[in-house]
Amino acid sequence: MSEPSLEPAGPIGVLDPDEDVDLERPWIVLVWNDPINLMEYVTFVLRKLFGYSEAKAHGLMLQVHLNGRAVVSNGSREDAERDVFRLHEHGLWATMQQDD
Amino acid sequence: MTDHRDVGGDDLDRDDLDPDASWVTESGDDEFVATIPPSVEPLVTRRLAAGAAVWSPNLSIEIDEPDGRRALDEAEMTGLIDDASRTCSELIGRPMAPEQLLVLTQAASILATVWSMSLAENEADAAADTAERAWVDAVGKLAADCETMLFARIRPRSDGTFSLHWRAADRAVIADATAELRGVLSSDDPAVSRLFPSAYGSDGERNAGWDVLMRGELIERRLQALEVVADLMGRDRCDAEELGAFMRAVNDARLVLGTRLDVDESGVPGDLDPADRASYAEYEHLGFLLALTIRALRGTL
Repeated sequence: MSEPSLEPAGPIGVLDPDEDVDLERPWIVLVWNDPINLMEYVTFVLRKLFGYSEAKAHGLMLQVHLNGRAVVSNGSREDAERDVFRLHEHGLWATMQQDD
Repeated sequence: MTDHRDVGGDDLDRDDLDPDASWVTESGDDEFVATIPPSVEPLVTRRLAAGAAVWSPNLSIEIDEPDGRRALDEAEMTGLIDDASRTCSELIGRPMAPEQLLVLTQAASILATVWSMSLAENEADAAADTAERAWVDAVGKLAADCETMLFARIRPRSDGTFSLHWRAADRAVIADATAELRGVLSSDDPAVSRLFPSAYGSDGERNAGWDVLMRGELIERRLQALEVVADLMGRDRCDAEELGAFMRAVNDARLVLGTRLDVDESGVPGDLDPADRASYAEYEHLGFLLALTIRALRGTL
């Protein structure tokens, strides 16, 4: 992407090192459907934040719209927290959970 | 708008397709009108009335879906063309609010796409006559002129910045919606909770930890974006970063307003009291400005 200055540095993570979590299992970030956000806005935000192609972002947006949710990214817990923060900053309804 | 030509009939005057002479003009503050010149008007009226009746059913367009691209079936194509034709018939020649101009732009763009595709298909057997070509040119010009007018508020410049041309109604809606947002951002107003979703679904303990650490930071970012919006209302130029902040703030304001109005995907309820009707108009206007901003920013991705 050509506009790195648009991206916030991201928050300090809330990962607690003493917490009992399985570090092997990756985390996934979900975006949930809502009746207000414009479809083209969701597509744009997914392209901007994750560098996805128009086709991929559009497909994910349609999954959210038609199925109620879509997995938009995955990785470590810190990665997921950063992604959720940025999605919340853009007004998308995002949650994170450990992959089953 | 008036047209000083007094020619009529079906013979297309090529000057009427001059790209510099727009068919879409501003007829008042935030009011637009699309006027088809007399030489093209009978043809356009006839084809919009015919809709999909003259559509060749072996042609279709493809859309993207989660499991790949698929072609629209015959009924879907017919419905698409008929709906777009009806929308154009209804909106051409009458004063339009900005959101109606957006609707006309979308409808004319659909028709321009499908009929130019149909023309290309039929050209092979040399049966495509001049009237068909004139129709495709006319609906293409209508779509292009609508789009030019629609995007006139935020114009991407060759140096990567944007020139801004807000209208009085834009400033009024943005001032009102952002003041409302700023006033409730740090409160426990239920509509604002939409801006701070729970990060961990139903895990209450983790959500509480997330909220303690992140809400303050999210509020701070949102206040910064609101500062940028206030600044941009008085400027005629901005960069992509500022326009991105504008986009987020307008979306935030729209989320709060939409939550308060209890908007669902079925559209605007019919039985609204006057206060709610005004709020819906503001909600629609914010959506319109948001769509324009997204389109302007797409070139930066």
